[in-house]
Amino acid sequence: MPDLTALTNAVQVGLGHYLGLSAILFSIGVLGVVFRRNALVMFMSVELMLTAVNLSLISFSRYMDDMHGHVFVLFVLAVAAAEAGVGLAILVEIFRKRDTVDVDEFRQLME
Amino acid sequence: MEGLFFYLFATVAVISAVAMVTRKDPVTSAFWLIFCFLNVAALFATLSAHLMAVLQVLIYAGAIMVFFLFVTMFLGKTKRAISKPNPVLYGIALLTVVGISWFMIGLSGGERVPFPEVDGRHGTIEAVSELMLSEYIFPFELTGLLLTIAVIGAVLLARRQAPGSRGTHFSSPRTPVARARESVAGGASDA
Repeated sequence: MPDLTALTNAVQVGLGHYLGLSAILFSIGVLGVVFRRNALVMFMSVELMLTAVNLSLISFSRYMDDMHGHVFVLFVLAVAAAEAGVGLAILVEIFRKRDTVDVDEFRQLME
Repeated sequence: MEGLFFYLFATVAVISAVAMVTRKDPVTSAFWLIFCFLNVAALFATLSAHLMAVLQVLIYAGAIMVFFLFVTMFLGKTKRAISKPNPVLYGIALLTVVGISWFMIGLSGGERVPFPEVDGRHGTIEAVSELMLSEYIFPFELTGLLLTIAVIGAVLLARRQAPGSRGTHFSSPRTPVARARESVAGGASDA
């Protein structure tokens, strides 16, 4: 086992690193929602954005030494599960009517 | 040691998130997203949020993504991956990315704010549940109500409709023909 002390000191991370990573993941999610036309992948990008927010909540929770952020993440998880369930049910219903999940084809809500 | 793990998991998480957005096949996207969620769960563990790391794997990477994969495979092939370039969308996306990054970096002071030492209770299931079942008991009950409503809504939406009622049947003889026509049209537009 090599001595990693110097390396460990060089890569000390703090709140800013986690917030930066959270911002990057959220931005990738935004780009996914904007540029992908497949409704399924758009939903996945929304999930990625929610996870990025969870990451920043938990890093703030660690920074403040306060557990309230963790409870919030639990609620976000529950809302994400509900959103995925209802959203995918709507998607299946649209697919039955239109035979596509390409959002460019969804010009009107219901024919 | 924490820093090394942060850089390892953060790099893999960002790479898999980019792969999730750029892959054409939704099934491949879903698998990359699962991989990304697993790495974020590892990051939660480095923040001593042990319960959240477990729940991230169980609920997100497990339940929700299996649900996504199930629906993706149920719906079958989809044709187009990236939309036609739209300058307004590019502008909005660029503004959002720059704005969020600027805000987050400004929020953290642009410097290394080290984490304080926490005791062993931080992030354990006892600490989280104590808080959730005392101070947050009302939102907790509301979450149960929300999930019940979501289940009822999903079942109502996805239920096969009775004959003669409004809407099409999934097993109607028209659907495979229309889907074949769709795939032929999609192949033509791709070429």
